[in-house]
Amino acid sequence: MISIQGSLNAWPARICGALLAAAWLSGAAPVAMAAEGPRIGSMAPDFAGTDSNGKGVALKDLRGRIVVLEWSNNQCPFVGKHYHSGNMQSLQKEATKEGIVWLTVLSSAPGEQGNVTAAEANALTRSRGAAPTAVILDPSGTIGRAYGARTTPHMFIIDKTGTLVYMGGMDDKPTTDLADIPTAKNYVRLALTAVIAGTPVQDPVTRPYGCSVKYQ
Amino acid sequence: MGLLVNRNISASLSALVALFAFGCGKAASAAAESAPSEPAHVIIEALSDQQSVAPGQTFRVALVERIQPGWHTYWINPGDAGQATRLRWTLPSGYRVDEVQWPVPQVFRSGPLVTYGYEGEVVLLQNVHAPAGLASSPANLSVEAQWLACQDICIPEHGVAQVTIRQEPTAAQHVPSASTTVFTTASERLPRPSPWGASLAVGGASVVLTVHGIARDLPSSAKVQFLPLTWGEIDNAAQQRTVRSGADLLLTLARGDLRSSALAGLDGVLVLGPGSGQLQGQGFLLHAAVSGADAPRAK
Repeated sequence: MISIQGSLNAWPARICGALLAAAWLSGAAPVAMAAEGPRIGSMAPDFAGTDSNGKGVALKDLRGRIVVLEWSNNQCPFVGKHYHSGNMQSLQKEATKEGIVWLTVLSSAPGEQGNVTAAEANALTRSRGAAPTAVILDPSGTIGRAYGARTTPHMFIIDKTGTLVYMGGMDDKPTTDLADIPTAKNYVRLALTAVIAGTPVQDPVTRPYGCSVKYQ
Repeated sequence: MGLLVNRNISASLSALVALFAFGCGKAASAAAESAPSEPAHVIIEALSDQQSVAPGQTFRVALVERIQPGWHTYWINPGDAGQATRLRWTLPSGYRVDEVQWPVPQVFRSGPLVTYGYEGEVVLLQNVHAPAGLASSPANLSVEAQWLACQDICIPEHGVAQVTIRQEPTAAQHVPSASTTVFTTASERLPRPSPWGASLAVGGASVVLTVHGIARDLPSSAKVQFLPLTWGEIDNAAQQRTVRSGADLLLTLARGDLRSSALAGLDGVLVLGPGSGQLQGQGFLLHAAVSGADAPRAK
């Protein structure tokens, strides 16, 4: 880096800057770039975890199925919006009826809000009338970090080939107000409809909104 | 509405004057999702920078958030999580209010996540335009505020505050309110238009933001950080690499969730951090358009 700068020191600053910018973007920079996050159209990051019934769940075993990942924290008011209204449960039921695998992922670290035991996770599923295929306990945040999950909820959809086809929010009304749900554009339902029909997802990347994932 | 806090500083004046509370506000706030007995984590107050308004005049209003220690509220771009404060003013007929002028935020890092917001006290300024025709009765300006207060956990809260201002249908005399210093201090915390131009080169995984000429004005020890105004363009948590090139400063920024989409430009606030000398703590509004021929195309 120093040698590049040194060799260009005599150049007009504007040209030098542009060249440096080009050099960095082409990968010539001697420093490592930040790790790339998940990318639509690329293979979804692989993961293996354990669900609330002690069963192993590995993404590679789910090829041929559409997979939904839902990051959750039962005490987050943004999650509450979608569960108190029944919005999340009805989408889970619609999806699983279509053979879609719905995985609720809990990445709250021990001692943090939303960290629950396996038994508590199952009790929450029962009491809320939730219908995920499984609830994955991820207290180390390994799966969350692999997906760059930032909020609860934060939603991802993976198609039958293992390709990431949606990442983002539940809908386009980033509030905690239950009254916003009927008029919101539910990006996840629209994306699932498209994936089932084999058509492109209209809005494959949207802003996730909610509480921060309570990582370690 | 749960908690109601009157912060009427006109107590020594007559009851009538106190009722109109010239230039002062009344604050009220309530936690939406918490039990009625639990106080809100933010107390709000509405202020005006003038005691009276003349026809067609522009003046400023402020929403003050007093935030409980350890808690914070959010900038227009909250970053990786959270929610910006939302204000909805109810004004007399013919009055118009401009967008919120957001002060330079603080950067909060929590694990792998970065959010932008405010601790302690924040003042959100807005310009208000009075109509050409004014009644002679006082005008009541009311604001409904919704904010997300977060510590480790987040609680959505809301409140209503109002400020009353005299209307002077004939006079054009500007009479400052008792809150002038609040407005002066708040103005100093706003990002300023950048005196330095900026350009952008876009790659598949990162962008290089070049700020032209800034290196002439900044000590070499200066730490700077670019805060994007909108979601998805920049990875908030990624390290920002800066390198000087003559008079220019180049910032390499990892792209955000919208990394697969075209990017025509970038808007944000360049915050001058430790080592910036007299400019330390100041923020400058940057607009960087993709530069022409020398810009590599996104993959």
